[in-house]
Amino acid sequence: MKIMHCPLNGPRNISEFVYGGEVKPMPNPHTCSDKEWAEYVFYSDNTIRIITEWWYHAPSGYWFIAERHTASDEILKTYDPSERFDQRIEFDSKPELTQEPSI
Amino acid sequence: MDLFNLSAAPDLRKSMLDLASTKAKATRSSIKMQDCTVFSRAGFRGTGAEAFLASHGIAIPTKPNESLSCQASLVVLRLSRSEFWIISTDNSEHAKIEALEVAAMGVENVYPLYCQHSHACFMLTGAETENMFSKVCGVDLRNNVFPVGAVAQTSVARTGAIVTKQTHAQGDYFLLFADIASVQYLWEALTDAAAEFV
Amino acid sequence: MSGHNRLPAPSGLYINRDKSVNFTFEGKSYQGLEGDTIASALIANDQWLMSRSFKYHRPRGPLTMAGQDANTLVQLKSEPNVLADRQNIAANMDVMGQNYNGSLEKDKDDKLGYAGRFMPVGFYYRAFYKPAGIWDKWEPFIRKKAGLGFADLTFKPVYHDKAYLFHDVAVIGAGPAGLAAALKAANAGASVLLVDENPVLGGALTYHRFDIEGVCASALRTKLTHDVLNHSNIRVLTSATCNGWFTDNYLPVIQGNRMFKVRAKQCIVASGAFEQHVVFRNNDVPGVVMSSAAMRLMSQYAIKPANKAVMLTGNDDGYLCALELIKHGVSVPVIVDMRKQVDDPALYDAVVDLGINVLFESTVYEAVPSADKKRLAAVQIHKITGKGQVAANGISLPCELLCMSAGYMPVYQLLCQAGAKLSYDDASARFALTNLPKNLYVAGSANGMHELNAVINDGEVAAHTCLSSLGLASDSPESIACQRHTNFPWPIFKHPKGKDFVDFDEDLQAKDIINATRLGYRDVQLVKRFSTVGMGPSQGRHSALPTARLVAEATHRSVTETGVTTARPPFVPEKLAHIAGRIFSPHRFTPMHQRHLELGAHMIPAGIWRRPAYYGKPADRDAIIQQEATMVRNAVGMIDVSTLGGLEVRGPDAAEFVNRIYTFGFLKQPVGKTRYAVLTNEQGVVVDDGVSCRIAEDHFYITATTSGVDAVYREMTKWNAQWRLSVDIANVSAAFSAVNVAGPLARKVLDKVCSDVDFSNESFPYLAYREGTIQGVPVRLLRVGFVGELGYEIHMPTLFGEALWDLLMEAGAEFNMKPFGVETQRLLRLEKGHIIVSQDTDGMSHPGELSLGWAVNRKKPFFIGSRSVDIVMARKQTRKLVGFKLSAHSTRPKEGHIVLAAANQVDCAITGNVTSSEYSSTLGANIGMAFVGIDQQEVGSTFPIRVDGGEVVMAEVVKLPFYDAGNARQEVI
Repeated sequence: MKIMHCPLNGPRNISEFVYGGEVKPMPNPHTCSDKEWAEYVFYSDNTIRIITEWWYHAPSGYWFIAERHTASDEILKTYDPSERFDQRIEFDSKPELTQEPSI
Repeated sequence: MDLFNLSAAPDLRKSMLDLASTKAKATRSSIKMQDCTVFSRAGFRGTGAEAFLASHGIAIPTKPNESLSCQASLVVLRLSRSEFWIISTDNSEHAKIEALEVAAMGVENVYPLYCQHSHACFMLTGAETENMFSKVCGVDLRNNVFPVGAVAQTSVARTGAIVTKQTHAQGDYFLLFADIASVQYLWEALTDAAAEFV
Repeated sequence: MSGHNRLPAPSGLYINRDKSVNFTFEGKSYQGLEGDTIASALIANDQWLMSRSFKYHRPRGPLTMAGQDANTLVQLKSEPNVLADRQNIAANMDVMGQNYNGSLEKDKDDKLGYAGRFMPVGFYYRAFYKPAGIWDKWEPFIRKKAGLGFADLTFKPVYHDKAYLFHDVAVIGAGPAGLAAALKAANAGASVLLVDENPVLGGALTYHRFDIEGVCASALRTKLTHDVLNHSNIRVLTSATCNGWFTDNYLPVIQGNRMFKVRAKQCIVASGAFEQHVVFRNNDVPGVVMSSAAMRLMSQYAIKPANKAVMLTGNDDGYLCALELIKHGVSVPVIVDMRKQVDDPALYDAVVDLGINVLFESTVYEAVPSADKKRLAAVQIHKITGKGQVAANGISLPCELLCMSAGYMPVYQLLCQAGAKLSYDDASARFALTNLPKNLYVAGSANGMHELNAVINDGEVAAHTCLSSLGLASDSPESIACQRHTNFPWPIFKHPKGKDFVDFDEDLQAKDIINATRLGYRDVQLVKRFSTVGMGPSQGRHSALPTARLVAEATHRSVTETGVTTARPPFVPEKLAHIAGRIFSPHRFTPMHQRHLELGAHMIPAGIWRRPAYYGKPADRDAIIQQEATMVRNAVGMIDVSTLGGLEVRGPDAAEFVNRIYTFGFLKQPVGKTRYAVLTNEQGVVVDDGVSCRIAEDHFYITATTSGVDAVYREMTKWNAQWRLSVDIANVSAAFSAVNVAGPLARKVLDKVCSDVDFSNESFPYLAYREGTIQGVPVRLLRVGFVGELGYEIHMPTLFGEALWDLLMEAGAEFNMKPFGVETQRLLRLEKGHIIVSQDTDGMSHPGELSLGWAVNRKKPFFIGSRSVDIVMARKQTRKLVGFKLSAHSTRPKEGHIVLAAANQVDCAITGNVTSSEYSSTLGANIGMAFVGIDQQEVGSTFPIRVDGGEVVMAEVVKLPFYDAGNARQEVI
């Protein structure tokens, strides 16, 4: 079983972790096109490269970020999310809906 | 709303562990297990937690996953940069624990945790305990790599758990905290694992 | 006695001459010695026939005496396919042969060999598929003929478990390289695990002869094993098999009934080499063995394997084996050497001095069995005239034993599982393993070393590399190269009459492999799948190399280009019991669990929890549920809802955070009020729901579904790892237990136990949240609809759960309050049209389909699924979740039954499915919820449901809720 180095807990069996998907910036939900939104929600380009992913250490409830190579599966680096997210994120007010679709 | 005091009514606490069940029956094992679930403890989290505890005379471990003995029977676990658990290991420090909880009320960036009621607590003693753990836990808890004071947040018998090694006059021991609703399952799994160490 | 052909001590490393063991084979009694395997004990008693081959039912005996072949598969009482040369005998063990028709000695199917030409390679792929259906007729016959042992269905499982082992260095294989590596690493302070599949340490040192005098192996073994066994840094596991290599040196090692999960920082594979056989006609006759097998019999089991033996060799090791045979009184008239000359002239002189006749450039072309076919009688020796070619005539020599020494193949399995590449030099016939991952090393004969000093040096070199990585510096040994040749490049002599076996497991002959290539299978992987070569129990230990050679030759390529088939774990067959170990299946109990049992609850799993379905016997299920429901509708009942998830959100940004997570608006939720909370994921699909209680401006307590809460908590903390809002999020599911007291009399019960809360409708209205104490215990009180009656949810710290349950039960006694179960709750909630997320929703359900638009605030800046909800809601809707009703006499649809577009059309579209269904005594009808097509949703219209057996019933769409449409019962009282 693979070992992952948790920035909080050190090296642990990969079975202690939950995968949280790729770290990717959210397009502005009010201004982006449907296509841009769909690509953000559904697509990931499955290419050979180093990707940045969310990982969660379940026993301690701790999220962190890992950089992993998609071909060798080598985990190159793990770090606390505060290294990447250090600003409070705000959302703009939503523009008026032009038409209210029936539910 | 008024303080919702988690340390209230200590006499009414009851552990759900049913020691009469066949699988939980004590074996001839040299590893002794004690259910300390009802012993008093409190947890605090938040950017103000460290300063709050220090101001109340609580010794603060310097790094996450370390612990300190504060007084004879009070152990402080540091579980992250900003999360601390204070445990009365022989249940003699209830007043102190409750006082801390009351004092934390309304303190900015200090959030009392619910560990008194969310976690079961077992105390394990015996020289073979570390070998028993190797049957149920993927973290090496042997003495040379897991000394007194060490803390591991890991999985024990497929249940999320906090394991720490402590010492007192009678020698070294392990404390194990895990989901309170799994108390029966976990006790039985550990009893089974301990049975071979007579 | 324990066999008449035992050799005197010091031969017999494995056996204890003082303890004899009685067992039976094929119903006949035998005596062996403690430490004997079934095979050695039988051979000590001159019983060489042990099994019948898989396809042709040919008589077979041991080939390797090391568990590396499938020629000794036997049946124990509760275990089929046991390797007789691995399994130790035990007192009164009953051993049977297997795969025969009649008896092992007289197998009625042994004529199948004559039909061999009707069973060409891949025959079952080619012969039985036409005409259609013919396979069904052939299959039972073929399965019967091809089966091996039988499974004992009355067998009782025995205790198996697993344990971790943590070491700096794991050394796999305790031959000279492994022993040297372990000592070197341990001396430098590393914690070492040494694993060997044999009962005694030493590997080849326990049987092989390394020098003309025959003295060095024993002395070296004694010294090394003494040092290893007395070293405090080394843990030794013997009779233990490392059955695989997994990422980061995670090694499953099976010993007895335990699987060790070894975690090694560094790993050295010193697994040795498999001796290879020579391919010639009848090379499977009992008595044709590897030279190592003959030496194992003598050294390990003190058995003189024959009176007269012939040695067939392609290297100098065959000469050493001949010396060993002669030392133990076996007459060896001839060494048949496939080479032109010997490498070490001193060896040649030594055997000639003993009167052995050496025939160079010769081979055994055919083995001749005795009249009863159960033992070798003679060999036919021919001059080699070219690659795989022999002279037309040869000489015949009587003998009972033929020892083969054609070379070695590294035990590459673990290394190749780790991604190593096996290469082979066609000219020198040498192997090399390269491309090993980090922290994994190979040493000894597995690394192509075939001289004792080079092997030991190689082990030390590997250990040094490990020590450097561990930061435990040690002096660096100088590498010694080993040029000794051991592999004869073409030990394959195809015979026109066949039975020249490449793969003994599957009865595959040289022509089968060649024919596979002629049928177009060039790739060795395809040859394997078509011919089944290497698929048997020995997994290509002996067939891989001749197959690679034959395929290379037939396709005009090199063996390196051809390659070998992929090595996958496990290395040896492993039992499911080993994989299962102690089955840790965590389950959760609420604090009221004992009370439920005492009250006769029928407990069912709810995710990982155990919950009461209802209180009574399953035989009375339907009646009990209706009774419990009637009690709640007319008086009062109580249900344990401790399994509910609970989340705390606290801090200055608490409201902002909750507002971003859930669909409703929460910024203006008043303190002391509850609000329905729906969670959508980024795809806009409803994934959870609960009730949000605003305890203070900066404090929310939110319930979540039992199975969903952990994922909701994960999502919450993940989002805030990005948003950086000033909140604390806590999963308090286990910390709170809860009950719901529901029914028109609920208030009367609560009034009795909780004096500091005014339960009147005015001061504690519908959807309000209050805190109070019950006997000094702090409780959270939620007045929610839940089952559509006046009701209070009481959340209490878990350690008080049982005490408060008792108190409430006592308080409710005068109103005849009884507990009700989760199945009753589901009926009651169904009557109110409440959806259960993940029961009435699926992976596509957006709020519109579920008529939850009212719980979605689409004007606020953001919630997790907001943009996706906007997109899907703007689209044309395709389905809707509706309530339906059928008469009480109609067949009741079950969950999952499909909704059809039209009733009378055979292959019409499926428009939806039933999600909930139950009989309601309150309504006197079968009711339920179902997804229907968007044009089937009109209240009053009917839609078809296909139920079990193909019957189609018509259900009427009903406006939800089914019961108390004005909600007077839950809100107004």
